[in-house]
Amino acid sequence: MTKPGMTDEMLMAFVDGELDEASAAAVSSAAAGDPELSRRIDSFKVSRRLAREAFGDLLSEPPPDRLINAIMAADVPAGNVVPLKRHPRFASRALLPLAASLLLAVGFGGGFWFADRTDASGGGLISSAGEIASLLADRPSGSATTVSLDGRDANFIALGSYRVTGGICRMFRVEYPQDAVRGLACDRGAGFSVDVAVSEGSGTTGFTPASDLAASTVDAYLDTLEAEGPLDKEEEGRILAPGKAR
Amino acid sequence: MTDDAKGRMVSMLPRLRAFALSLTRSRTEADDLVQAACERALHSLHTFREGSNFDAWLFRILRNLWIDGYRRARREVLVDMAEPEHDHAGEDGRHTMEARQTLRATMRAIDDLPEEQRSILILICVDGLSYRDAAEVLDIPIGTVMSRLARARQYLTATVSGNPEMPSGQMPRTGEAQ
Repeated sequence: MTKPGMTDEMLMAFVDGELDEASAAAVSSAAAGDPELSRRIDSFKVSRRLAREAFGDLLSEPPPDRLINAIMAADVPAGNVVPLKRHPRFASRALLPLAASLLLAVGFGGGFWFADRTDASGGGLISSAGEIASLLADRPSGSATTVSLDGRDANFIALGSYRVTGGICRMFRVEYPQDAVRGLACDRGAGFSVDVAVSEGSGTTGFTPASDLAASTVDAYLDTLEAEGPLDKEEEGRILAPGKAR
Repeated sequence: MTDDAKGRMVSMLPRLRAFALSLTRSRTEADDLVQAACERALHSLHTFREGSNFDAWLFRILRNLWIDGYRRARREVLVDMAEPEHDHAGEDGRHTMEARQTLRATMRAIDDLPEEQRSILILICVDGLSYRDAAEVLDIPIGTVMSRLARARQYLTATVSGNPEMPSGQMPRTGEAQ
């Protein structure tokens, strides 16, 4: 016998995680001894799964280039500048098809390297990952260092440091003579390793400007890590110092 | 920042397209609507209140555009709403057939829903909005969101899975239970 007071809306909200803790516990307890109530709850779980699966193709396929181009090329009237809150709920899922639509992803050590489809530098990025991680261990943000990466002269710039869930991440940019790479390396207790790097390319993807895409992609990745704002010089100094304080 | 807004919009494109498709029921028109909504939003960034929910704000712009113009101007027969595009070659044949039948039945059931129920179903179950954010997008009370959503989901399950409480094919009611 189903308990009185358990409306469809309440059971649905239970499935959707919209009930407060006490109400959710009450529903859970009631359902434990009531097969009919359990069936009604399952029905709402099924409907959510069905709806999601029906749009699975659309959610997972890369969005058309024309939509991305339209957004990135749109003029924004002066003064229309507002700060956005971080932590979009779906940034992670949405980011990957986006990147795949514009960039060639090359698997690397559990992270992602993204290279211009027509740019051969992707392989070079991979072999330089260890050197980039080493540079980030002690170079303060804002500093530029001339280095040789993958046999090419490059200008390495640390752009900022961010606290994320479980560690610290640092954003960087590597400027080669013909192109540039923007990326993010994170230290979750075992030293810095590159999580994501995006080739800004040379405009050959048909997407302009590629540098905007690279910045947006790395920013979106930071969002998925629930990054806080950039650390100031003093905080960053403590992280980079020997015997770093986290 | 403008770049923040553009990056966020691009990352939202899959979800915006799903919501737009639920309104237009045409992939081509859905993409046109998404593009128009993003362009409108970028030109209206000054109306976005700092600290409020950017996603809900953008979904709302998209829906208002649909109501104001696209719905009025659209052609009458425009149903190409999501046939499965996967190539299931090599998978188990019976399983694949059942999956396709379920997907088609789901799409038909969603297509049958009144627009106000379909929008809520997609915003919450597909696009992942909270009840509160969906209420903000649609400018209706949260209780109305819940009653419409419950009816839409009961119809969906009944039609696809054969729930005895609502025989398959019975149209969902459009009235409200506040």
